[in-house]
Amino acid sequence: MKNLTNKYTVGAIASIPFFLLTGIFMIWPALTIVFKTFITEEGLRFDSIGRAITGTYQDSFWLSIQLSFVSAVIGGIAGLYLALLVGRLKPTSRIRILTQSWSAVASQMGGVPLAFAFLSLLGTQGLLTRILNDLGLNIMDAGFSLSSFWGWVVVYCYFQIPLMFLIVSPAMSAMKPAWLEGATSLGASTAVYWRRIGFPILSPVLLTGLLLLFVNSFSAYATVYALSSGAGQLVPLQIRFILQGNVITGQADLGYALVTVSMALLLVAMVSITLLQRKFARWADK
Amino acid sequence: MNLKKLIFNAIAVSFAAMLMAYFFFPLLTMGRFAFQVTPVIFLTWDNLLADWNFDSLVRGFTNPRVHQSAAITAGLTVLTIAITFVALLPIAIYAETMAPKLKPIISAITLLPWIVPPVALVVGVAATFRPLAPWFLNNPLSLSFFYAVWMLPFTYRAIEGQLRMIDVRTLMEAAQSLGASWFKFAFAIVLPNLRNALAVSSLLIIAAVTGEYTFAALMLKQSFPVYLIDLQSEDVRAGYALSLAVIFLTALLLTYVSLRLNKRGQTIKMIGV
Amino acid sequence: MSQVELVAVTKRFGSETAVDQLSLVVPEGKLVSFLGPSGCGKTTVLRMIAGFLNPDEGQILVDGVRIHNTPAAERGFGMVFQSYSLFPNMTVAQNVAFPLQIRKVGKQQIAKRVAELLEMIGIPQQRDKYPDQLSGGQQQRVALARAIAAEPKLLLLDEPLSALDATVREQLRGEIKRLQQESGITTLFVTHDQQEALSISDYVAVMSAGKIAQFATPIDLYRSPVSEFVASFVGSTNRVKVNRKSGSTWVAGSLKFDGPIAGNEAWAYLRPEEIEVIATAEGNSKVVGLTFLGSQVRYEVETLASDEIVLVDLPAGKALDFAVGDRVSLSSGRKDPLILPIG
Repeated sequence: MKNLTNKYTVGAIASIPFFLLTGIFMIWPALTIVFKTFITEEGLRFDSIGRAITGTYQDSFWLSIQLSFVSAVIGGIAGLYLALLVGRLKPTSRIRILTQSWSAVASQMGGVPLAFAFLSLLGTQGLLTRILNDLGLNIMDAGFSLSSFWGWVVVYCYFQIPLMFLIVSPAMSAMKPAWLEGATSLGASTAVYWRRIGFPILSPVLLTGLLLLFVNSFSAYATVYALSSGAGQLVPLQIRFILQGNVITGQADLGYALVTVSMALLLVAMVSITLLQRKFARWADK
Repeated sequence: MNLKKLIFNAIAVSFAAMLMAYFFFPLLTMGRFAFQVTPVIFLTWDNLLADWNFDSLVRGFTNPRVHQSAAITAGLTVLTIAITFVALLPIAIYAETMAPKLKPIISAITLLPWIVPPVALVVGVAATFRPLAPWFLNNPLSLSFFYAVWMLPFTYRAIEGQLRMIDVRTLMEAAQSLGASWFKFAFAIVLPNLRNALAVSSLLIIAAVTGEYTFAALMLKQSFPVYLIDLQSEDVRAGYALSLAVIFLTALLLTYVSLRLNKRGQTIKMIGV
Repeated sequence: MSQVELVAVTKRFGSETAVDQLSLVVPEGKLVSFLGPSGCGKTTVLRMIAGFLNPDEGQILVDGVRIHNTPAAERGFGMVFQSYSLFPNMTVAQNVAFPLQIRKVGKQQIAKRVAELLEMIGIPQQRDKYPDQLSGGQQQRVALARAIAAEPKLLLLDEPLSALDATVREQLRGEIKRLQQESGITTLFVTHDQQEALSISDYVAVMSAGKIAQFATPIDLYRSPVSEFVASFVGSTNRVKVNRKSGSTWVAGSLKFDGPIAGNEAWAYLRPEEIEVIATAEGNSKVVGLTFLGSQVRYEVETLASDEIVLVDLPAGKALDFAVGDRVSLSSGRKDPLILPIG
């Protein structure tokens, strides 16, 4: 090969595989969905969006948003507290390293194995269910079920908590000790430090974490599918339900609309995250 | 003052204990279900330790459909890794050395997979590939392209992170002053130095692909995770046993990855933001 | 304006003793530097005074009162760190106001004091800027203002200038001295830069391996070091072998000094500027090298008797008299340099 140091030639050749991959296998399908939501056989229509956010689908969105929000908040708080505790340990401490490793594993867990695990613990045939039953606490009668909202929350936290931990931990390490020492030498108690300096500085990262947890939960499909055997009103399940019969029933554009609305929601979340990340980077690098 | 500290410590310890229980009990009961034949209803304190065996695991491993689906998943993993490297490495090195302004664009694109979740992507694929090139989708290995895209938030950041650390710009200027072309520089100099990031990316892909259910199932492909849930209707215990095995192996893999990344106690971001 | 006293303070980290039975009295209203190489324990001492570390043995007293039970937040000292410690989420004015707000000072008073301080350190126009918009020197000025805002009893400075450029460093150290003299706050200054320590301190405590090697004014430290370590750490030193001629007279070639009455062999420590050179054809030394340093020329002179190389600094004017290879003879106007017997 000749000495190809021309900036634009090299750039063009180097970029082709990447843009081909992302263009064909993500951008094209995604844009097609949006396109088809509005441009049907009858021309430019906006009513499919309307149908996607009313009636049962409105309930679905609401349910998905609620589940995502609740699991994000609970997972977020628990993950944050864990990061706070572990952040105090020395970087080489075994507990700290183990927690980081376990979080990497648990945050990727989901879908079928996770559902199985919880079914064996808290399902109708679950061991813990049986133990509690023997102790007189029948959780089934009390309304608890892994195919219900709070059951899903309990299971989702399994990957939400570690995910929040992984997001917050690096930020914790980036907090300069001179900030705390400076504040202390000036007379501030630990509480005052956190209230006026610690949390304000961490807030972009915390918000990023909550948003990411929200995105993560909203998109989750396999876990809840396995827990509820396909039933359930969450948006991903609804999308799938429509997809199964889309061509036949002629509800294709509704399916597209559901996806478009979901993507819009997720887009807002991701843009917010990017902006927040920049804000924290400004402060932490100095 | 000391009372306050005591209370804080007590809360911290109980929190840690609860968390540990929460994370490990489900795995324990999963193991119990897989390896102890006695159903939950018949359990008493006496027969707690009876009837434990690994038959379910053996059945799982000797099931030919398991082998088939595992082979598919193995193929998917290898192909995904290959596609990822071919797509990412050239542009990542190029951007880092000669076009830093390109980086935000690449970064933004690699975050798109989170806006287009697997469920959504399936719908899109149905609308685009099915009408135009159905033959492509017939091969289960076609999933690997989508998997490569799906893993971009993680793989791109692992590679970009290491490129930054090894100061590629200076290396490039040195290489150019010695007469190397850009491509030679990329292959002979940068690549060998990226071993860490490449290893991490590969392991992340392995862990992710061996657990991916949604996309494969909706595209009607019998990858290993998909078959596992089918197995549930045939042989529940075997299904559970295999799932546990997958969790265990993934845990080992990811532990290794995060230990590599967190060498000497430095916390490096593992998630893709 | 407070007096600080350290009594036999000791601090260990594992098997290492960072501070070893250190005793010192810091007079009130003075600027005292802790000078030494890295690892000598100077920062450890400062952090114990600040309250971030507890001594394993010994006492620390401020105005006669033991402070080891007082938590760091309640000691009322101001501290400036080497790495910028300004709170990134607050403006300059907010940073400086922070200690006053903690002490529940009224809003109007805070505003007045902040304006006053910013004026004092020379950056009133930056009041609404954020730390990441300021230069290193500006940030440290703000850190200083913040540290003295609440009129602390002590000001503790932990290598505050080490991370700055040379010109800024010189400028800022002059300002620190000025500030200290105007406010009269007892100030402890940790540094590894001897020029810094000598130029602004009232007293310097030279430290090595956890102990104080010498505590003296800069002039005394330079002119009359008490050990080889101090002599060589502060400024350049020549170590010349001398023999006792008789009584308290010690000689080396043409050099003659007063020293102790016992021993026969010793090391005499002389500064390069304390030695003079005369061109003599039969001189017992020879010029073997010279380095032009601007206002001075540094000569390397080899004493033919003992093959030692002696560094001699001469003002640039005089220097033109000598060239490499010239035979010279050395003499010194110093009568009583540091002489340490060997063995």
